[in-house]
Amino acid sequence: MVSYTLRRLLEAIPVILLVTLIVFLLNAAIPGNPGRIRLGQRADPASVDAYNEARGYNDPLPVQYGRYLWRLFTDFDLGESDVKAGKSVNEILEEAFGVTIRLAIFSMFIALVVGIGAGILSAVRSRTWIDYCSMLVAIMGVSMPVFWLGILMIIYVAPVLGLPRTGFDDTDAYTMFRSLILPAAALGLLSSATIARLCRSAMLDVLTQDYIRTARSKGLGEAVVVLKHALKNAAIPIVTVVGNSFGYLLVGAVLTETVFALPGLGREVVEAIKQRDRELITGGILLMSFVFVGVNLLVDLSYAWFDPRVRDDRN
Amino acid sequence: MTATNRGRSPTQMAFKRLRRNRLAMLGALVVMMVTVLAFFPSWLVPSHADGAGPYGFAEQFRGAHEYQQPPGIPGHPLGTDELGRDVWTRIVYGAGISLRVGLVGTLVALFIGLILGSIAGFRGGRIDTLISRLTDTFFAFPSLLLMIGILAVFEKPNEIVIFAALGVVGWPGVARIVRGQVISLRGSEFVLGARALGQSDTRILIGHVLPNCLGPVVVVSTLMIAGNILAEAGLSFLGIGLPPPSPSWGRMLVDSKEYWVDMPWMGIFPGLSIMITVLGFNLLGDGLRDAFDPKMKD
Amino acid sequence: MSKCLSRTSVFMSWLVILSMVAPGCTARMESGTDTVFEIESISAPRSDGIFRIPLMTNPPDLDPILVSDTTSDGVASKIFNTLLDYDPELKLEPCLAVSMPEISSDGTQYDFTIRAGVRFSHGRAITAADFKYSLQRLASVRSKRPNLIEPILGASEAIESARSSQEDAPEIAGIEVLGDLQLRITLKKPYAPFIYHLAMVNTAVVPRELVEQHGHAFSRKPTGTGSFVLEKWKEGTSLLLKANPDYFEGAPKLAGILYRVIPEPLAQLEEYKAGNFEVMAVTQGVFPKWSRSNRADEVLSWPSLTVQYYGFNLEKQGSPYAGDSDSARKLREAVNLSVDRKFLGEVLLEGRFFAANGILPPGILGHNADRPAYPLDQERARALLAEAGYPGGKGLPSVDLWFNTQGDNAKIAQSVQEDLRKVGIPIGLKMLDWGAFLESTDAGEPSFFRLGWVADYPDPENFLAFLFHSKNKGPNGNVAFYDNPEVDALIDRSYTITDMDERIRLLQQAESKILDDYPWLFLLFGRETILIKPYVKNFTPTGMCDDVQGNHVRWHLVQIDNVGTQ
Repeated sequence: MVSYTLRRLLEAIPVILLVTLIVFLLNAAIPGNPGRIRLGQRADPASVDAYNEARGYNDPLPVQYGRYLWRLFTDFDLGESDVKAGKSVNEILEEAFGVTIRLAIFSMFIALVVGIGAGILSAVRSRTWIDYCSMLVAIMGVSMPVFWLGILMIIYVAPVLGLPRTGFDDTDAYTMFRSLILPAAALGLLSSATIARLCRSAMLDVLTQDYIRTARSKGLGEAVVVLKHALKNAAIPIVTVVGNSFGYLLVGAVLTETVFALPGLGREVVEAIKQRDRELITGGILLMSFVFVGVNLLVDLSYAWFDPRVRDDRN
Repeated sequence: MTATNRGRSPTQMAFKRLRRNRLAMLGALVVMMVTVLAFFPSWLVPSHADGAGPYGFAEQFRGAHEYQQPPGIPGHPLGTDELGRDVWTRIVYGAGISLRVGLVGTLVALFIGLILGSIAGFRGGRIDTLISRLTDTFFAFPSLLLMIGILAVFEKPNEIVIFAALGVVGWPGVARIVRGQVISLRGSEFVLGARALGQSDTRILIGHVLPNCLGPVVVVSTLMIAGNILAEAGLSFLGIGLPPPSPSWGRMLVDSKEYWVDMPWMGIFPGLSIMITVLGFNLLGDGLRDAFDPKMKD
Repeated sequence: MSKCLSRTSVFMSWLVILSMVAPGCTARMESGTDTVFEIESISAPRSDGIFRIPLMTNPPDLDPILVSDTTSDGVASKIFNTLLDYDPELKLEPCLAVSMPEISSDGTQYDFTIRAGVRFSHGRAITAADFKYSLQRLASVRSKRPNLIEPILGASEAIESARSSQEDAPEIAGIEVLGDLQLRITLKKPYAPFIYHLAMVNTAVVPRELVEQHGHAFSRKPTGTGSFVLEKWKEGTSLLLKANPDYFEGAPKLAGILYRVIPEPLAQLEEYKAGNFEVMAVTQGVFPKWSRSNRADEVLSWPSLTVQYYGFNLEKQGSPYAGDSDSARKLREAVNLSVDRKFLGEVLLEGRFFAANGILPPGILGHNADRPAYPLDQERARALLAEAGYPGGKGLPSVDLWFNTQGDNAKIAQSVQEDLRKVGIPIGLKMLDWGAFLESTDAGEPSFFRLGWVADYPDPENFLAFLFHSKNKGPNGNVAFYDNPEVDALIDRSYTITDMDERIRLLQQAESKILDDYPWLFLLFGRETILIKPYVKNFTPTGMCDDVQGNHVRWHLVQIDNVGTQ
């Protein structure tokens, strides 16, 4: 296990380096002159050049990249925003990330509840209309444009449930919870379908096993049987899906945050791309990728922990 | 397809399983219907005397305050949109665009993914490591943001750029699956046999190995088409999708946003079109996956 | 989305938006006349006296020298004050100055006396030296508006020297402190519109010690003399201003102003209906319904100093519309006669815009109210098309109309495309993000493009000089690359003339000359339309207002009336 962990960690290093390189190149390819962006469209060329010189944008790309990496790996300094004067990228991302991570975790929770619920229902009532309907509903969630679903929720659901329509209110835990319910639901439905499918399949697998029949014959209630034995066995694939969907959630959050006016990471980066705020683009995408790589690593490791065969297979 | 004559091939078995899956069959039906819309739009909408074609301006309402009409009035079964154009006409013509975006984006991803995945799997060694890390890297990107970034490089979004962006974002999924399949087939009897006969690597790859990857690749492609259609809508929402007056469903949704409260049909119908189509592809894709993966129970 | 249109146009102009109209033109809709719709909308003020305003975007910067968009301007103008301001009739009046400046007879020397006893919100009293410092900051490399002080004697040199020295407030000889409260500004040569610059938030007074202490972060922690003080700013989410009890015109009646950023207009409307905002900018789909509803009294509308146009790039190689040949001019005229502006303004944009009759919108001095709006005359357009050598549009290459993603642009563009198609003029559509769009138009890339102009100050010079003087070709505003020596001469002569009527007459002549050349497809003039809760008192948009921002509204008088609400 130790050597496997080490190997996975080692593999992550080139990935992270490559991510930084690609983001950096992408950024360089996006047209737009940082000085002009900072100083305004009508600024005179000399001032623009002076600004670019001072910020190092005139240096050759490899030099800029090297400097960026150095700053990144020595003290995780992501630079300063070109658009928001006096704000460091770290500061901006820290605030935004707090929102996004809460949203992602909450929607993951909703995805799990809906997904496992639908999966269990489907499996227990396999090949009946309940099975079809619950699977259909689960897949429907993943088939709607998330912004459409979000706006429909704002118009039709929020007034009925008395929930806040938009915004992120972190005055206390309760208001924060309330302000995240709708966006988390809209986002969570994206992942519930996959979880439902896996859960159903794993459950069916387990339900036909001998020990379940034994358990049933011992007179235990159906619910206990299902929850205790079957769900335990379905857990491993679900963990994998949870990890993998986390990336989807981060991505889906881009749209959800815009609709519900949440000051999250996705919205921040989209705005940054539109405004050509270089350092913020780089920082934001990097942060998301790091989280993604990290979560994937954790998923792989936990998978290997549960199932020793994984470690061997890879060798 | 590798024609094996011993009873039922895995592919045949898979299709038998697929046919038994009612949800998958429902999905297939939807996909078929959308395809008909996409290829024969003129069958389903009245032709416009003034040649307005896909834009479907409803001339008779132009200049009148009541040019935005609810569904059900003669000639406009789904009503007219924010510019007084026939919603049904635009949805029918939009099917072609959505399908094109979904399909071509997927084909680009398949092209890159198949090549890189099979090389990695077949060659192994350093090349494999290199390609695998590259795959991991592209996996690690938040896909929508990467797409927005790529579109920002090109500045002027058109269909080709969107296809390319979808491909760049989609290929790692294909590459991973293909690599896995190729590795598991690399040591199989028929590959060893072909090699013994002195066939070249490329020939073995194309002639023997790749056809056997078909199942999983079809599955992932079907699901990717669904994802791409949604992605186009999302890009439209962020203001970087296909430009107007293209009747892409995403654009129809976004352009009519302001009217959804009072004239809900402008949002409901394009939204439903996306949902039903994507649902169709998703159901079919899931069904295919279950069919090709005997471990999944139905 | 009038909000968006204005915002985009203001980026277009390098100065801050000011829009004006006689206050008599602002009108709340009469209620009860034609009530058709019943709208459920909660109308209950917050008990704590906080006024809540939705924003589409986070204000990027609140440092006056960095303000370049309407959102930042709206917030910053509540925190800062300038020497001059506009009165409700939109005449300049003294603000931090005691009186209007004494101007020397040659028109180059402006003498100001600063109001005594005005304090920054951190307690220190303002002096003439603060103004000198604040104006000099505009010459620094970081400034987005060096042009505002460029007419001042020695300013060009200061701007030049700041480039190498990176000084934050390079010395400008033409700004002199004559006493504690005495300030003299000397111009290089007479430049009549300069006085308007002193009413723009960019020239607001800032405390030197805090600017130096915070550096770039002053933009995040702005401190001024204004009626409100920045209390809390969660970027991208909300921004809370607290009343300044020591405000020199009297303590505000409101306890504070809370901005919340909600990018989606539909969501803003839902929040407004839920009673979570006091105002909101009216977007498409709202105006016709609300103005015929039980809530009609919440609709407030006033004309704004904006013009929307589709410009032809007159220097674009290969464009059939470019150049001053007779054929190109006839083509441009044909385009102007093909578009149904009445449909655009009254139907498509729901009365939030109206057909333009030229360049200068009503409210701008020199607007010609007698000239009829451009008519729709397809027959004449077809005839012109034939005369230009393209009978029935045969042989006429399609050019792309470029526009940016925001607001109603896509709708207007599709409608214009359809109108032109009917006459036989083919165009394609190309949609870009604002930044990319602006760069291409500045570079003269598109041959046909949408733009708007929002007045920086209520003077015709602001429209004609920037948009049509040949010295401003390209990024400075003349993106049509219009070049007419006669027009240049008329504008240049207007600078030296002190008599206002004479000046306006010259500029009107220039406008007519430009109109004859059809460098634009002249489209629409605009209105601002907002929803405002009935319990809000004294919110009188002076016409300088960009929708809910209430620029130049007397915010210290705005009141939430707790009595008599539902």
